[in-house]
Order: sequence, then structure tokens, then C-alpha cells
Amino acid sequence: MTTGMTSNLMEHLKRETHHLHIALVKLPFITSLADGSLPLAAYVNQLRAFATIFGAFESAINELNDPDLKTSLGLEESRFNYLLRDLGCFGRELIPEIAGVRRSSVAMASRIRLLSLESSGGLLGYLYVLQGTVLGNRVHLPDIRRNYGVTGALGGAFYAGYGDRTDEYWGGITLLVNGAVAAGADPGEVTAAAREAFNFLHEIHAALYPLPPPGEMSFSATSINPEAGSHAIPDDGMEIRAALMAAHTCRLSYPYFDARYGERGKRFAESDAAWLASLVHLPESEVVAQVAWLGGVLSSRGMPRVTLEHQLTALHGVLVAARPHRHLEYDRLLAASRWLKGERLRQIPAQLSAGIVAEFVVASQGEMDGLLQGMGRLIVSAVCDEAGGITGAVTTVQQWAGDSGRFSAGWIVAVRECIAQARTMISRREPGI
Amino acid sequence: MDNSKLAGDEFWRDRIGLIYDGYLVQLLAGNRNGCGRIVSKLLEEGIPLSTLYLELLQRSLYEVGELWERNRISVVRQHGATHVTEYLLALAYPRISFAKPCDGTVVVACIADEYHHVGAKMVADIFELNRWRVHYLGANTAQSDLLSLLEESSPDLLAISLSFSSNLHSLLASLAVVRGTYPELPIVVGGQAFRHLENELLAIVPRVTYLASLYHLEEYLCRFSGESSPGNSLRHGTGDGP
Ligand code: B12
Ligand code: HEM
Repeated sequence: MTTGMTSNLMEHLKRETHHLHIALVKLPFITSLADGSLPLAAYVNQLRAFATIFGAFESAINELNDPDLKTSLGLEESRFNYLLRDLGCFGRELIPEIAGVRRSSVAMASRIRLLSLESSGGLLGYLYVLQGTVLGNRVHLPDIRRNYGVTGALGGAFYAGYGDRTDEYWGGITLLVNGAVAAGADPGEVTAAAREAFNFLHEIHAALYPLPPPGEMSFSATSINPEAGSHAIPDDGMEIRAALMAAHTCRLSYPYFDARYGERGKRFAESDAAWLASLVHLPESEVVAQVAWLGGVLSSRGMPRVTLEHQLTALHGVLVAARPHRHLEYDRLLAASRWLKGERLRQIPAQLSAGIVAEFVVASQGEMDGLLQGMGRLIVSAVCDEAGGITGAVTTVQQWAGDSGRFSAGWIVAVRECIAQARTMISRREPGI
Repeated sequence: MDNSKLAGDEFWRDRIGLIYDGYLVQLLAGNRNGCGRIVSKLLEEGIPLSTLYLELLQRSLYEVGELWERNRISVVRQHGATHVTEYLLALAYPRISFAKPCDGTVVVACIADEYHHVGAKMVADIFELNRWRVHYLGANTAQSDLLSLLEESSPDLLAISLSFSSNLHSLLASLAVVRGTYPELPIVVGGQAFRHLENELLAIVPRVTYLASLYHLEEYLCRFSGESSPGNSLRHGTGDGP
């Protein structure tokens, strides 16, 4: 080992990965990006791959046990968010994914998660390579702007990166990496990880372009939402659009979603809706079982099951309108929605629940003059979910809706009252069963 | 199953009962050394592999999944627990590789878009322990890769693991393609996706057997080797003898 390696790890990394960097920038993906011939599909799939990778990378850093490392690595703004913002600009284009790219980026993300548990030196090597892209991206931002008609804020945010602050940022990374050796990081481990990261990215960029034949491109949940585990969604563009529409309808009927979960909630609503649409191939009993499962997952995270019930009806409506001859399959979604409704009404019958909601609307000043329309229904549904065995369904809703930093005292009392009333209905009914 | 085996199972279940809670805590903390010590100890004591896999590793991962489902733990912890379990499988592996392979060959795979592969790896290990030659294709195997491996290795059996039910449709499509080329190849399937579905599946593709657990797999392998005949290339069955 040379002393140079330990005193200036950054130089060492650069030297040791130089040939990998050269090989990467010679790939057809990069040369076509520069000469303007790179198709949009390749660009969008690159953003998706990086979103999968940076999603894992940034959450690995956020969950690090070592607080010092965490603060030093948590430099600057999240590039994952830039990626999400860019992808949002192309969401409606329905660009399919490239199987090989997805495979390699999922593998790279999984490797990053492992390193975060076991090797902070390894994570540092990945940091060097991943954040090193701010330097190359800066070179290619004009190409991105020109090729795809985007701006550095929208559609090109990942390439615009830290803009004028890039050099300063890289200076910070240099200090961090060199300082890590003094703090005990193993330079060999960092270098090996950096090589590995380059190899992953090489594999990904080689798979991105030239584009594979259309048969090897398909849709998955990550085409809509990079944070979703890559689960199935329909391959029929109409069904995907129907799902996006149903998710939209649902968000409009419950402004709570946007208020609480923002953009991330929107993306999950969309990928979940697309997943629901993919279930229609399964037997009805399995569709119901899967919906029951998703209902539990969502409700314990603050999205009471009544929203899923409505989303399924909306989805069914759009699908049947578009392809009436397939209604037998689509009807399975309706059956699942009815199952949810049955579960809800079993706890509190429709009339009683309408009464509680009406009182809430009055007490909450018309659900805050409509700003949080549907909140009463959500609360009552959460209580029904809880009584149906989903522990935490009420608590998670109350955490937000009962937060005094966010809401007036009057609103919070109304929420509490609504929960109490609904719970009373349930306890009154219970001895009878 | 004979009585001594049942009594043995009982013993190990009690044994695991004693350490389970402590193990789960270590698993949730992502502490692979802590879990490794517990598992090494059980292996030293001679726990049967299928019992270790099912009663400790599988059971705890199911519980981890439930904790995630109920929003009690983050997805990062779930990943950590899975990584630890994969490490433990590697730890147990030396127990297997001593077994001499026979001529029975199996391809174990997860289909495209199926990313859960811990169960499939366990299945592969059980085959190997029973002296099969195993070609293990991990998660998310493209259909074309599966077909080329079948072509290259001409196995006696194909085993497929499926966890996520919404992949069932693509599984059926894949099986149909395999059936088209290999009308006689026996296929076994297993995994959580079939919990409610076994009958429907069996009706669709001929000569597909659903096996509900590793224990069922072991029984199946006994029967399989017992039935092996000259028409079947599994010549030596599971015995060492001449
Ligand atoms: C780890 C994990 C993951 C990891 C997997 C990584 C890896 N290395 O495998 C990752 C992060 C990739 C993942 C992703 C997802 N997961 Co996941 N995951 C799990 C978890 C916690 C453990 C899986 C596991 O290893 N179990 C232990 C093994 C040993 O058990 P097993 O697979 O059942 O196998 C045994 C038997 O079934 C049998 N067997 C299995 N196959 C075969 C085959 C044959 C031939 C035979 C004989 C026997 C057999 O033998 C095995 C050994 O005993 C489960 C929880 C659970 N209940 O299992 C959720 C779980 C399976 N996942 C789930 C979900 C929803 C997902 C995602 C959709 C999440 C998302 N939205 O992002 C994605 C989907 C990805 C995809 N397309 O495949 C749900 C599935 C529910 C459902 N609706 O069907 C579960 C049940 C979690 C939950 N409680 O909600 N997941
Ligand atoms: C995914 C692809 C890429 C990765 C992972 C990557 C990674 C890196 C890394 C880690 C560095 C830091 C080197 C150092 O100073 O130690 C770097 C620097 C640099 N990269 Fe890239 N890069 C990529 C693509 C590109 C492309 C396409 C170009 C285009 C020409 C490029 C041009 C540069 C330049 C000019 C530097 C600065 C070199 C210097 O200051 O000496 N990179 N890159």
C-alpha cells in the first residue's frame, strides 16, 4: 500500500477507477446523448434507474447508525427528489421499462442496502461514484435541454444538480473522503466498492442503449413510481391510464391525501391503482384476498379502507366504460369493493355512520369549508378498520388530524368526538353479536 | 411420517421455542453475528435443516413481514432481516455440500418479476441435501433464460417458487410455454402465492404438483426416487448404496 493511498484517498480512487470511467463515457448511451440521437425512452429509463439507486442510497444514509457519518454524508439537497421531479414530467408518456436495466438497478440498490448495514467504507465508495455524476451531468445538461426540450428545473433537474454550487460540493466530498481514512475507513474497501459501483453503472448504461426490441420492454410499478417495489401492473396502456384516472378521482374526493402525503402519496396512489388493475386476471377470491391485504397495509399507514373501496369502484367504472366486453373480469374489482364495504358496514351500519359524519361536518365547520372534505368518512372508516382488526388504523389518522401544530382546537375536538362516537356505536353493537 | 420423526420434530420445536424471541430481536436489529451464533449452535446440536429453515428462518421472516404490514417496522429493517437470513443460509450450507450428488437434476427458479428468492434458495438446499444436482436461478428469471437452462441441463424436474400472487398470471403463462416444449417434465411449485389457489392452478396446467412446505417436498422426493424407473433418468434414487 502506498502512503499516497491513505493520505489522499480521493486521488487514489480517481486513479484506480479511471479506466472504468473512460469505459463508461464511451458507451453508446453517452455518445448518442452528446450527438442528439438518444431517444427519450433511454433518457427516462436512465432517470428511473438512478431513482431506484438514489432512493436506496439516500435512505441508507438516513438510517445510518453512526450519527457523524450520517451528518457528513447528508450533504446538500436530495438528488432522489430531483429525479422524482424529472420523472413526474414524463409520467404521462407511458414509456415502458427495459428489463435488463431494471434488473441491474434493483441489484445495485439491494447491494447498497446491504452495505449500509455492514460497511460504511463500502458506502463511501458508492458515494464517490454516485455523487461523482454531478460532474459529468454538468457537462451534459445542455444536451438534455436541447434533446428533450426540458429545463434545468423540470425534466433536467438531476442533470442540473447542484448548479453553481457543484465545485464547492465536490470540494466537500473530497474532504469527507480523505478525512474518512483518518477516521478509520479501510481504503481498500472504499476502492473496491467504488469499482463495483462503476461496474453496476456500466451494466445499466450498456443495457439502456441501444434500446432492446419492444418485446423486452414492459411496464411495471416502477415505471409509474420508482419507490414502489417492482411489482406487476397491466401492460395495456388503456388499463394503466384508467388506473391513473381512478387514483386521481380518489385524491380529489379526499383532499386529505394530498394534504398529508403530498407528491409521494400521489405516486403511491397511482402505482397501487395500477397494481389493482393487474389483479383482474386472478380468480375473484384471490382478488378479494389481495385487496384485503392491501387494505390492511394502507389503513395501518393512515389510509382507511373506505378510500380503497372508492378507488376500486372508480377503477371498475373507467375500465368497463373503455372495454365493456371484458366486464366479467373487471367485475372482480367491484366484488372486492363490495367486500370492503361489507366489512365496514358490519361494524357501523350506513345510516348510523352517515349520522356521525353529518355531526362531524357541522362541528368541523364543513370539514374546514371543504378543504378537508371527506374527513368525517375517513375517521369513521378508520374506527371500523380498527374494530375489524387493523391495529393502529385510528392512531395513525389521529396523529395527523389531531395535531395541534396543524389544526385549531375546535377541529381537534371535532375529530376526537367523531372517533369517540364511532367507537361507541361499535361497543354498543358488540354484545349483540 | 414415522413416529420417531414426529417426536424429533417436537423436540426441535420446543428447542426453538426457547430461543425464538431472542433470535427475533437480533434479526430485527440486523445483527448477523448474533443470529449467526444462535444458528451455529443449533447446527452443532444437529438440528435437521428443514426444521431450521421452517421453524426458525421462515417463521421469523413471516413475522417480520407481518410487522411491516402493520406498520410496526420500516422497510429498511425488513431488508436487514432478509440480508441476515441470506447470510444464515450461507452459514448452513457446508452441511449440504458434503452430500454426493446423484444423477437427478433439478432447475429451481423464480419467474420474471418475482423478487422473493429466499424460499427458493431453501428449496434448492433441500434438493441438494437429498443429493440432487441443482441449477439454481435466483429471483426474477427471464423466461428466455429459464428456457435456455432447461435446454442445456435437461433436468428431471423443474421447481418454481412464487410468493407474490399477482405474479400468478405470468407464472401460468410461463408454465404453458415450458409445457409446450417439455410435455413430460414434472413440475413442482410452492410458495405463499398458492395459499388460496392450489386447486385452480392444478386444473390449468397438467403434471404440476403443488407442495405446501419443505416437509412436503421431502416426502415428495422420497416418493419420486421410489418411483424412478429406467424411463426416468434419476438412476440412483436417494440412497448411497449400490
Ligand atoms: C424479504 C421480503 C421481500 C424482499 C425479498 C428479497 C429477497 N432476498 O428475497 C423484497 C424487498 C424484494 C420484497 C419485495 C416485495 N414484497 Co415482500 N416480503 C418479504 C418477506 C418479509 C420475507 C420473504 C421471505 O423470504 N420469506 C421466508 C421464506 C423462507 O418463505 P417462503 O418464501 O414462503 O418460502 C417457504 C415456503 O413457502 C416454501 N416454498 C417456497 N417456494 C417453494 C417452491 C417449492 C417448489 C416448494 C416445494 C416449496 C416452496 O418453502 C420455503 C421455505 O420454507 C415477506 C413476508 C413473508 N410472509 O414471507 C414479504 C412479502 C412476501 N412481500 C410482500 C410484498 C407486498 C412485496 C412487494 C410488493 C412490496 C412493495 N410494494 O414494494 C414487493 C414485490 C416484489 C416482487 N415483485 O416480487 C407481501 C406479499 C403479500 C401479497 N399481497 O401477496 C409479504 C407477504 C409481506 C406482507 N406481510 O405483506 N419483499
Ligand atoms: C453514470 C455515469 C458517470 C459516473 C458514475 C461518473 C463518475 C464520476 C466520478 C466518480 C468522478 C470524480 C472523479 C474525481 O475527480 O475523483 C467524475 C468526474 C468527472 N466526470 Fe464523470 N461520471 C459519469 C459520467 C460522465 C460523463 C458522461 C461525462 C462526460 C464527459 C463525465 C465527465 C466527468 C468530468 C469532466 C469529471 C471531472 C474530472 C476531473 O475533474 O478531473 N462523467 N465522474
